[in-house]
Order: sequence, then structure tokens, then C-alpha cells
Amino acid sequence: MATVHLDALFKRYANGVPAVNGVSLDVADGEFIVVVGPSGCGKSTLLRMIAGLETVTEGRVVIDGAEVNRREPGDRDIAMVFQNYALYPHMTVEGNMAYGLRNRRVPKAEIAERVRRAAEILELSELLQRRPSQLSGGQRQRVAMGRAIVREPKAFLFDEPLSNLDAKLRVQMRVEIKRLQRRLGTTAIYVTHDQVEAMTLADRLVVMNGGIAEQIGPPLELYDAPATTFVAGFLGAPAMNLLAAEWDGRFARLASGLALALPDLDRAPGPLTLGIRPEHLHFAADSRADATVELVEPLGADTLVHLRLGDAMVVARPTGTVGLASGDAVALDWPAAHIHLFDAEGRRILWTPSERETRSCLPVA
Amino acid sequence: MGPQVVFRSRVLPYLLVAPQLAVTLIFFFWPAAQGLRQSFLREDAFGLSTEFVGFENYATVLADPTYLEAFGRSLAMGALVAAFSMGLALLFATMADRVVRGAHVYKTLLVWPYAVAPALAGVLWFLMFNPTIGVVGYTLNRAGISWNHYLDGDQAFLLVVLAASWKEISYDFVFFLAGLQSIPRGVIEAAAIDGAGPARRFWTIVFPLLAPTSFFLLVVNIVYAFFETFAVIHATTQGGPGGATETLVYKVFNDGFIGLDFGSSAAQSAILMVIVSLLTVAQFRLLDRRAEA
Repeated sequence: MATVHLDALFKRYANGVPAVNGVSLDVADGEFIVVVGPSGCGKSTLLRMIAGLETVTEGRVVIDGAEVNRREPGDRDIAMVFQNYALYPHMTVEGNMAYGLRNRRVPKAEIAERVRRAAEILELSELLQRRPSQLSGGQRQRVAMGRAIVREPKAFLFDEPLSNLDAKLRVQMRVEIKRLQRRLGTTAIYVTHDQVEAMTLADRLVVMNGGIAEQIGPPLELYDAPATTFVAGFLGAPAMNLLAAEWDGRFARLASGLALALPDLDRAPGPLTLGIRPEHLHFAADSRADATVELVEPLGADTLVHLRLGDAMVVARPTGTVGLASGDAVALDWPAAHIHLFDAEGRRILWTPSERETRSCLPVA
Repeated sequence: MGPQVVFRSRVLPYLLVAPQLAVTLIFFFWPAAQGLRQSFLREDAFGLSTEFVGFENYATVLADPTYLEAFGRSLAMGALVAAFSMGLALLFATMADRVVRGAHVYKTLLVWPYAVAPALAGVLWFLMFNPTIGVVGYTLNRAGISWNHYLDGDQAFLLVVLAASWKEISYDFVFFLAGLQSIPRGVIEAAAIDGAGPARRFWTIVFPLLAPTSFFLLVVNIVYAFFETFAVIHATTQGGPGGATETLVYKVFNDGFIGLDFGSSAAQSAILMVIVSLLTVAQFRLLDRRAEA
């Protein structure tokens, strides 16, 4: 158990390509951090630098108060769970779990005891003499976890550990990982591209894009107040509707010709991006024709309604079922409290309209 | 399995395999059958009369002390060639696997000796070790180490082993390198995180995972040392000095084509055939078991 501190980490490859572009992060003792981002955003490189599998170009990795930049992976006292599990194919389950302890010359009796306990926690006791090739995907995943926990390391590092599992098993293992981490109280850094995993597992979330951390914070905080259009579009499925608009001082005019009054927005005229999550975009009981229904996808609990708004497409997500069909014209209601505004660079604009919960930014014809 | 081709005609598939079958039958099975037949016959040196003698040729060969010596020499050569070439090939492959810059250059250069004909490889090494005009031989003698493989049987034997191994290193290198590259990087990284240093990683992870490759190469190298060293020996020592480099295959040649004792030579060939068969069966057995695990 320990804190992990990343101080302006940079990783540039020999060909000059930057993978990680100055990431700083403070991980508290026992905290579960999830690093999420699209492929190629540098999240795995970041994790591998913490593990010591990649050299650090610039910056510092500090584990438990000590800089570990130049330490071998084996001397950092961390454990890592790999995407493809990376089990030792020629060793039994027991051998796989004991390997790290044997390398550290832990007494035999203690190794046996720790392996026994880990196997019990992970329900692997019956499988200790099997080889990885004789195990199912879920069981291999468990062995990889077991190999990490017997070590009782300062931190767990997870590199997309669930992406090789089928959907059902993934949900089950996700819950198990979270429970295990809570029970052991070990600091964990978890890399994934799956935003559901990210939202559900994280104490705090790091959204990465293009080698930088776009935003760091509790999952719901990021969901409710994304700092950039990237974070806004990345978290949530279906993604937040992002619409280009022109602010003229009174109204935000969308490309479709729709104009929305944004009360109390104190800002010079210019372009901005307007965002609203599908679940917050409501239908108004009006006769106006703001948008046309293109496609209706009933999901049972709610319905995804794809709407054409001029050249743009937006998605609304009313609960239950709706009596709409493609081709229908609908009026939309834009609750001010749920409208996100971003400037031309994609950064969040602070905007606190008065009477937040009640007023709606009614479209103006 | 790859995609399967279904032939509509029943004749075409047979036609397609016919050339290969013909080659196999004419150049492998027919001579082998001839050899087997001959091993039960005794022929006079001029080939004018033959006589059926049953297993007498085998009995004579197996009771012949020079044959048993040749057997021991072949075994020793197999073991030494396999040890030398596999050991060095593994060392080179491990190093080449780590090289980032110019990896292709190293790999190409290390594979080159395989393109050298065995007879040339032998002559090359013999020239280098020649006690009067060879670079190494001359240097050794100057340094006070008496080297003359034309007189010293052990030195001649060692030289044949060196020449044979040198060529085989390339072959083993290719397989070891492929084996190393097929080990998932994650497994090595996991071992690094588990606190194993480079040497420990090699012996506890890499080496065991290379076991199937190693076994395959062991069999191939032994077969190589048993049979294909013929060219090396023939081009250099011709079994000498004093029979110090006469291996089983060389003895087959010597007794048959020089000594014109065709019956004995054929019986020796038959015994070699049995040895190769056994080695091959052992190899397939083990590979099968690996595949199942």
C-alpha cells in the first residue's frame, strides 16, 4: 500500500514521436485510479512507465515517496495484470503465483501459505496443479490476479485486463476486481478504453487524449462537468450531442437555423460548441418542427431517437417507449441546467444561468 | 488447417502428386530396397557371383571392433556437434534478439555459413588450421601448442567437429531466433515485474519455453552429425589419420566403395536406416505430446 506520484511525465520515442506529453497525477493510498482514453492516447505507455517497462524521457515516477525512474521493474514492488494475462505457460497455476515470491526468496512455508490464501480468495484452490493451457479465459484472468495479490505489492497496475473476456464475464470480473481492491486496500491504477469499466471502477478517472490528461476527477464529476469537448464526447453512451453554434450576444445560433437563448451568459460574440446529453434532450409539447426523426431504436428501458437537425444529427434518449416514427417532425426542449458550453478550443465555458432547474432555453424562431 | 481444395476430377490429384511420388520411389525407396537386399548377400569383389548369406553380414559387422569404434565416434561427434552448435546458436540468437539497430545485418551474416557447402566448410577450416600455412595452426604452433591434425587423430576429430558445427550454427540460430521471437513479450515483462533478473528470466522462462525447439534441433543436429558430415570428412581427412575420423557413414562408403565389401556396407546402411527411423519416431512422438499439452 502506497501513494503514487507522477510528476510531469514525458515519453518520446527514438523517432521523435511523443507518446506521453506531460502527465502529472497524485494517487492517494488505497485509491482506485482508472486511466481511460482511445487507443493510441498514451495510456498504456503511461502505465508501462510506472511499471518500469518503458524508460521515462522526462519527469519523475514516485512510489511511496521514493523516485523509481531508474529502478528495475522487479525492484519497484508493484504487480501488473496484463491484457493477455502473460501467464507462464510451462508452470502450473501454483508455480505462476509462487514465481514472484521465489524470486524474492520468501521462505517456502510462507509462499505456500500466501498462494493458498490467494487461491482461496479467487476460487482457484481446485486448479492449482493445472497449466494455463488447461484453463478457461476467466480462470486465466483469475490466475493473473492471483499472481498480483500474492506479492502483496505497493500498487496494482492493470493493463486492460478484461478486454479479452466475453461481455458477461467482463461484468462479473469487473465487480470482482473492485471488491478485491476494496478488501485489500491496495492502490490501483487501471488502464482501459472501455468507459463503462472506467465509470464503475474508478474513485478518480483520468481521461487521456493525445498524450495528455484532459481531465482528472471523480467519474460523475467528469460526466456532469466535462472540461473539454473530448471528455464530453468520450464519456457516456450514446455520446453527448455536440453542436457548433455562433453566439451573437443574445442567442446561440445553430447551423440548422435554430436559435437558443442562453440566459446570463456574459461573453463576447463568437463561435462556441453547445453540448447536451441524450437523456437531457427532451421533446416539447409544441407544434414547432425543430427536428425530424430519422431512426428510432427501442431498448426497453429507454429509447434512442436519432434526430436530424439541419446538417447535424442529435440523439435523444427518452425513458420508456415513445410513439414516434421516422419522418415525424418534433419540437425540442433544451433545459438550461444541462447545457454544456465550450469555446472554440473545446474548453468548457463557465456558465451558471440563474433559475437553473426551471428555465428552458426555448428556441427562438 | 488451411483451406481445403476439393477436386472434382478423381484423376487430377493423383496426377499432381505423381512426380513427387516418382522421385521418392526411384531415388529413395528403390535404392533402399536394393540396399536391404544386398545386405543379405555376399558378392565377390568383381561382382561376378553373389550368394545369399542371411544375417551373416550383420553378425560380422556387429562383431567387428572397428565398427563399434566407429559407432562410438559417431555418437561422440553427434553429441559434440549438437552441444557446440546449439550452445553457440542459442547464445547468438539471444544476443541478436536484443539488438535493435542493424538487427537484419547480424541476422543475415549469422545465416551465411549455412550456404557454404559442407565440403568447402571442411576445407576452409583445415586450411586455417594447417600447421605450416594456416593462420590458426601456425599461430598455435608458434605459441608452443603442437598442432598437426595430419598426424594427431584427436585434433583431426576436433577439427571435423568444429567445421561441422560452424555450419550448423546458422541453421540452429534461425530456429532459436524464431523460437525466441515467438515467446510473448508480456511473459518476459511479467517475469521482470516478478523480480527476475535477466539471467534468471532466461533460465526459468525463456529456456523452458524453447524446449520444443531445442529438442527438434537436437534430433536434427544428431542426424546431421551422423550423416551429413560425410562431405566434410571426405574432403579433408578421409577417415584418417588412422581411422580417427571414420564415422559410421564414412565407414559405409569406405567398406563399400573402397573395400568393395558390398554386403557389409549394405548391412551398415540398414543399421543406420534403423537409427534414423528411431530418432524420427522419437521426435514425432514428442512433438505430438507438446501439441496436445
